[in-house]
Amino acid sequence: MGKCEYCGVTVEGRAKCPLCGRKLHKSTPNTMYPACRTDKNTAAEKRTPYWPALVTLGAVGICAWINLMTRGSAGGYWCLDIAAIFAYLWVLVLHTVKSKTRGSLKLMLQACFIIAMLCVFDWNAGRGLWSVNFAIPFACIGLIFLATYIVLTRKMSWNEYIGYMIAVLLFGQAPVMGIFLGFTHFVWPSFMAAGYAVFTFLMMLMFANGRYKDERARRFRF
Amino acid sequence: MQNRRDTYPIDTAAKLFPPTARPTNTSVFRLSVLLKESVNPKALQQAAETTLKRYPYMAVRLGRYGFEQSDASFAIQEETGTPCAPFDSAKEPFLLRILWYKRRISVELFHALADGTGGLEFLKTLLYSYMVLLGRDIDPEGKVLLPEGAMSDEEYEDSFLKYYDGAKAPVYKLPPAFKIKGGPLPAGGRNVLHGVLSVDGLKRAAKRQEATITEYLCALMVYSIYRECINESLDDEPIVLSVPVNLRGAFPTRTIRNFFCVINVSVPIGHAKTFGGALRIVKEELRQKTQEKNLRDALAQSCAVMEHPVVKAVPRFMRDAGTRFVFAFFSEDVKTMTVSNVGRIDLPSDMLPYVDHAETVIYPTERSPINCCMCSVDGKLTVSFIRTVKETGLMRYFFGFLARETGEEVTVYTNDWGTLDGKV
Repeated sequence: MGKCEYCGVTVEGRAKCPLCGRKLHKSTPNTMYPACRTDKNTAAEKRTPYWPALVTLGAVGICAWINLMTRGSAGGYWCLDIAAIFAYLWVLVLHTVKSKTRGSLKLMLQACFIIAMLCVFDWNAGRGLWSVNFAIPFACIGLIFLATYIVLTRKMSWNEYIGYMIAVLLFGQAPVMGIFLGFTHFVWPSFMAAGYAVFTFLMMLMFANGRYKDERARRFRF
Repeated sequence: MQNRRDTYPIDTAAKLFPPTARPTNTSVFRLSVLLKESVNPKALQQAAETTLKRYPYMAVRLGRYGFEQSDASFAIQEETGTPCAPFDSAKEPFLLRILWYKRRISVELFHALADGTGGLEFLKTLLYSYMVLLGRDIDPEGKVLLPEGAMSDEEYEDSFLKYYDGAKAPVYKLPPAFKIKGGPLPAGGRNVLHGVLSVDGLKRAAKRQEATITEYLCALMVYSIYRECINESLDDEPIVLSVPVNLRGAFPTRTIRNFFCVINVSVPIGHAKTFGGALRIVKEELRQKTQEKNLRDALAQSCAVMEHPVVKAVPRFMRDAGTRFVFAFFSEDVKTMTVSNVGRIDLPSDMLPYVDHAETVIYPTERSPINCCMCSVDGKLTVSFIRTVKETGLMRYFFGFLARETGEEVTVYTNDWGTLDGKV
């Protein structure tokens, strides 16, 4: 048995201390446990989602077939709406719910898919541009509100906090892009989203809690 | 011949375990004894068969209507995996394992089958049978349920229902507790780290603080969590230890099945900054929450929900989904870690010369990735940590503090799961 002077314990069956990793002067072979194998019953935990994938492909395929068979010369491609909804559901489950990535990244990906889904719906419903005029700006306002709620209720590190600040700015700017590209005719909802984003960003900067301010001052000197 | 039955009902507490068990929350605990010489597998196999005849309600599998008597032949196994591995209740014919490795005899039980006290009775009978088969002269001194003794119906009774008087106790949702986080170890196994020390030194250290051993170790755990896991600028939730309490002390019963409740010892961060502050809160909470009235409330809380006619009437899949939600919301969300003190294992004095020390290991869960269990035998206390995260700071501080404060030598050893790449 070896003694770890750093941890103050005697170590059995190891050349290194299992608590601090430092090498021991004396070491003994591990007679307490065998070289452990992985559990037999672990496979069930990580299942490839074959059935949901099959259901998705089946549903979209059947819808596409019905759509193409019945659309006639002036009909739309409503099967794209179904495909967009399924794509959104996959992102929702696999990324937003199951992934362990940052919340701000999840929110940004959600925003991308919501915007894309609204554009597809709009394009299929006669290209009235209601998505860029109204739906996307109000969706962005909703997402900014959600980001504000998360920041207020959840504890987070300073870099996560900055992630949400960036997300808020991007959500505000996305509808304005429509104005610059000439798609948006009703500009007030887009400007409202941009204004709300800038306001929220400034509030987050000003009223950030102490620990964020400390980190910001320490790292960026302002 | 024992009074065997075909099925045994699942008791009130055990209804929680089957729906919530999965590979990352196995609901399996282990009780082990380390002998002073190598285990004889042949004698152990024979002892296991004898013991299971004495405890027919343990030789069961999970069926549609409760525990069903298993007719498969039971085989002990040489230990090859990590402790508390999951049971596949659909495939495996038993809900318990008897394992051996060099000097260790282990019993692993699915928690629905029994609690720590019930499991210990089983282990003691197994050990007694094993030693008798090796030709040792053991006087049981009334401390062991003998293999040739008759089984009584009381041994598998649901003591929760026996003592539940229909009273209702309000159920409160506690605020979320601080959760230990860390880099995950490889999936499919659990790392265990044991520390063995003399009980005498610990007793003296606890006495200096006017505390019991459980209070002292719980307070040290809180303090170690504060020192090693808390980020003071970020974490403000209380440190909550989930401490299982054996209800047999307050409500006499001979049941081997589950008869325990869990009390949550909550220490606000402000009080955890010093060991003395943590100890004061832990003492207050433990003493207050283990009073008979509070234990009766805990018992009523368990029974009132499970025995509610509406809960009983809903289809099983809905009840299981509800159980999973209750487990996540009322149990996992409100605790930082589980600290279970199985206590002194009272073996007959003739058996003690053959036993070196004992180990108890309780399964970790996803949100409680480090759990701790302790037990003592013949003046040697073993504190066993099980973890699914890489970080060892908590254990290092805990054992370092114990070695300093008790003046006793602490011997640590591990199963090396996930750490053989040269890291700790």
